[in-house]
Amino acid sequence: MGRRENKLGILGWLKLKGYSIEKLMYVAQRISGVGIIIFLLAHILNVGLVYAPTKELWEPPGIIGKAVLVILGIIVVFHTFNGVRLILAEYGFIVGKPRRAVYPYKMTSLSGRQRLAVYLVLAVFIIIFYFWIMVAFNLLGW
Amino acid sequence: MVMSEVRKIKFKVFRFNPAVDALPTWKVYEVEVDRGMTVLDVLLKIKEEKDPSLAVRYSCRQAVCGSCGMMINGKQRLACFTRVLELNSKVVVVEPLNNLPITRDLVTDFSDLFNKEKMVKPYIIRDDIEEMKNPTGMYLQKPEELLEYLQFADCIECGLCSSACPTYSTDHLFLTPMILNKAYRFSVDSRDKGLQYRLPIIDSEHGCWRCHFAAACSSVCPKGIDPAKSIQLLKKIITSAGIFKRMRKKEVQLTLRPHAAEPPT
Repeated sequence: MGRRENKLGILGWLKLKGYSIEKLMYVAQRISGVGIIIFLLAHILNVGLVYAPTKELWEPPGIIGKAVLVILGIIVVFHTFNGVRLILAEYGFIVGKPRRAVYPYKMTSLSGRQRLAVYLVLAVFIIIFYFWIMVAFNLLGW
Repeated sequence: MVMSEVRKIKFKVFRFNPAVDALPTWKVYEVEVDRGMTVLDVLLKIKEEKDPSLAVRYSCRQAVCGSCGMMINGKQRLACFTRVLELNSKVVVVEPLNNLPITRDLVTDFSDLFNKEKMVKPYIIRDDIEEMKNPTGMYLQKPEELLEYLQFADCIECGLCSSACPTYSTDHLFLTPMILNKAYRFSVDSRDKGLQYRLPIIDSEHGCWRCHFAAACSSVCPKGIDPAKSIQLLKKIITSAGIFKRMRKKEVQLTLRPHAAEPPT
């Protein structure tokens, strides 16, 4: 009847159950990257329309525009910090050294300095997320 | 005294025969499972007592041959290395490995992986051909040189890492963790001088740079190989070799056998 390739496609990226937190970070990095590109294209279109054909002056963003900018700021912060972690990991600086595989197995790429870097990225992300929202909506009274 | 702990567990098994079926089907078998029984034991019990047409690939039953990799409750596992009661679920779902073509039922086709493995030259390459043909001595390694690749040499090629890899699910040509681990294991061996011959494959568009460190491979590896680590270390040695033109400094020297210089009598 036919061969079944059994490829998961994009669903393979989104399958998180049973895997480590690094896979969640991988998906978040991809989605935030796509989000930044979409914003960039929309931003170019927006700026182009404001100045070229309509000659209207730029107005400060309303509540929806502000929300978009807040989300953009958050995903840029995440993408940057996680990107630094990935650069360090991908050039072998934080994934650990080769060692004997002794049962019960402990993967150094899923623990130690690399896992610490994951938690650091998440901590920085949450702190900046909090302040970003507070500042954006004038909740700090500055 | 160890008490027996028999429980009735439902096994939802993926069934597909490409020669007959247009679409896969699921069959549910209820099996009495004892303490210590593995998923492979249960599948063989189903095969013997309930449905002899079920296709399962296995050989050693002790996590050494790497034949019985399958999706068990949605995660890549070795059937012989997974105890049913430890899964702690009343229904155990068993499927063939994701991202690999299905031969039949739970058996998947590894030919794509093995073809890619041949491409990365998984053997020691040396330039002293005369010595290879007529050996006069040995290449002795220090313990630290052995430790460089020992962890990665434990690979049983079960394919769980490649099946879990999110890049392989969208890029069919990606070399996959199993193969990149193999390439690193040989490239970092102090007896090997073959990195330059492997570079055109592993440093290509579908080579190691497609890995974005989701580390799914390491979270499913049943032998503690840590393929995510070996791929990142592979990137490191490729960068050193490519940008800094720095190949490995340490190289093993040929240690002549005591009587090698003497003519044969």
